[in-house]
Amino acid sequence: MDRQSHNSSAWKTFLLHLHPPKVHSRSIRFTRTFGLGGIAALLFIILACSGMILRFKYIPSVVGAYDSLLTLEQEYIFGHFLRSLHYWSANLLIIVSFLHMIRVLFSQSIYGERKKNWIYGLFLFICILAFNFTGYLLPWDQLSYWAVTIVTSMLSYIPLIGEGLSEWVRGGEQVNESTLLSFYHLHTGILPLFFVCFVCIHFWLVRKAKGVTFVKNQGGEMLSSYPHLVHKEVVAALIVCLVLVLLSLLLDVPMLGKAHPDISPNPSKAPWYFIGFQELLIHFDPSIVVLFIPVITLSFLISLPFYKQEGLHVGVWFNSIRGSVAVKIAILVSLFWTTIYLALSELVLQSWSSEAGNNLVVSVINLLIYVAPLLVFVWGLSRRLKLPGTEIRLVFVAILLSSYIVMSIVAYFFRAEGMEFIF
Amino acid sequence: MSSRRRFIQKLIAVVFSMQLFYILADLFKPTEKQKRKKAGKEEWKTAGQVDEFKKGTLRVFPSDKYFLYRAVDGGFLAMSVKCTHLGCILRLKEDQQGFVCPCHSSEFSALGEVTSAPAKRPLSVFPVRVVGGKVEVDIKNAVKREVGEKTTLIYS
Repeated sequence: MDRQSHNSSAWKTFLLHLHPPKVHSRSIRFTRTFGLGGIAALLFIILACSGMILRFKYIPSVVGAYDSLLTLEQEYIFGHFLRSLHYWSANLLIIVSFLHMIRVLFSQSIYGERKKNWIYGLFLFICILAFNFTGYLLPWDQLSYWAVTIVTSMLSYIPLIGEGLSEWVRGGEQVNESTLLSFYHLHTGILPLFFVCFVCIHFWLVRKAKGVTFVKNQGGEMLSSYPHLVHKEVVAALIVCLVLVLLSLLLDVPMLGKAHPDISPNPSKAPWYFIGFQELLIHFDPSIVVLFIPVITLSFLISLPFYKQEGLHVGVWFNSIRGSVAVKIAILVSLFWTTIYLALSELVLQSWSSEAGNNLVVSVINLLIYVAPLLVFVWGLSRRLKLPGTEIRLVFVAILLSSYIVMSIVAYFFRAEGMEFIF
Repeated sequence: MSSRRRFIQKLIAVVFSMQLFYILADLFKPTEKQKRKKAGKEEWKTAGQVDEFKKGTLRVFPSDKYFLYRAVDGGFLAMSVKCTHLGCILRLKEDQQGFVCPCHSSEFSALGEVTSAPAKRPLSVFPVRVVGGKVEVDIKNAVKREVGEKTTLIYS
């Protein structure tokens, strides 16, 4: 064997640890998965590498954090680029892993032996949010300090254990030195360890389930992973790297003034992935928003693979044409109704709630005003289109997602000083 | 399965549950504030002479994190600067007769009572005493007030 083929066979053998020797041609189509899972894995590797380089310069203490980052950006070549890369990869990871979740769910890839992987996947997504949240505090500027104050204070509204829980997370009554140190440790130590373990399990479970889902009995052939799959992966990886480099070079990472525990900036907003919750807080009682809604949503998502399925079409988008139509209508209706409801809340409901005492009962009524029309809509839609259970559940997920997106957009772009609504 | 194995497994399960129970119980335990009060630690800071404070005015003490209000009838009230909604630091209103939160526009009266949502609880108060013509505030022991609690002022 000459030298060249010896080297390439070493690569091939390495890749075969991750990939099966042969894959079905339909499972490696771009529009099957959009490469989202692989892109998420790549982003995590980029984050780990850029994070480790950042660790050379970052000082995890109240005295040193802010200045160490300023020094990195101003006095070290590529310092600004490094921090930007880390920041944009982190935000892109939330979006990509979220889209990956959606793709998996809507292509019916969570059933049968993939049930467990769905649960692990949900847990991985929560880890990603935890990563982003702990990392958000580390610059110790006005933006991070108050965003973390707000989100940890949200925890205190959980009944019975809320106050203890928020003080435990914060390490005190206020965000302080020990908060910074714990968050740093979580961000660079505990979470990466958990995450890597669970990602390995996640990948292994995909292999165990014989790979990506696709519609059977519609032609196609078995191809060898090297070169067919690997080449596509390399192209996708290169595109992702290009996008990240461009983002890091062209767009600025926010860095407000150093954290001032005596002055809250106006407005104080949570990070964009939590800002939908902050919007919810403006409309409903905190214990509903912080406990009831997350618990219901998470339980619903976890339960999805466990219902009895009739007419399950694995690999088909939205399970059927009917499902496809239903989900699209549901998204439009939900976007529309959520916007209307927010306007209704600003103009009418909030003043009514203040007069009525602004208590839990008032909030429940406001929540019912939002939910009831949607339930009626889903009931009507499922009757009209004769939707089976699987499609109905997909409709509910679509509604949840689009309403959260509307809330996030409104809170991010349309709320200014004092969280006043602006247009 | 042998009874010995079963016993050891049950033992491990019990130890783990005890640990989990301890962690959960810890979340219910009194907060740092309440523990400090029980331990009797107080820190009285002098706000100033009684005559320094005009009746019907608010003064802010940012580094000690309290507002001092002297009512029109001469009584004193020391309130926390933290908004009871999500913990942001309050600012004085333009007319100096109340507080507004920069985060979500909660508003409070000069006595720390909620005048505008989303906050629900009135501001926490600090113990005040007048000693030898000087107004003193115990900045270590904030007292949480519930909705509808009557406000008590301290007179010299």
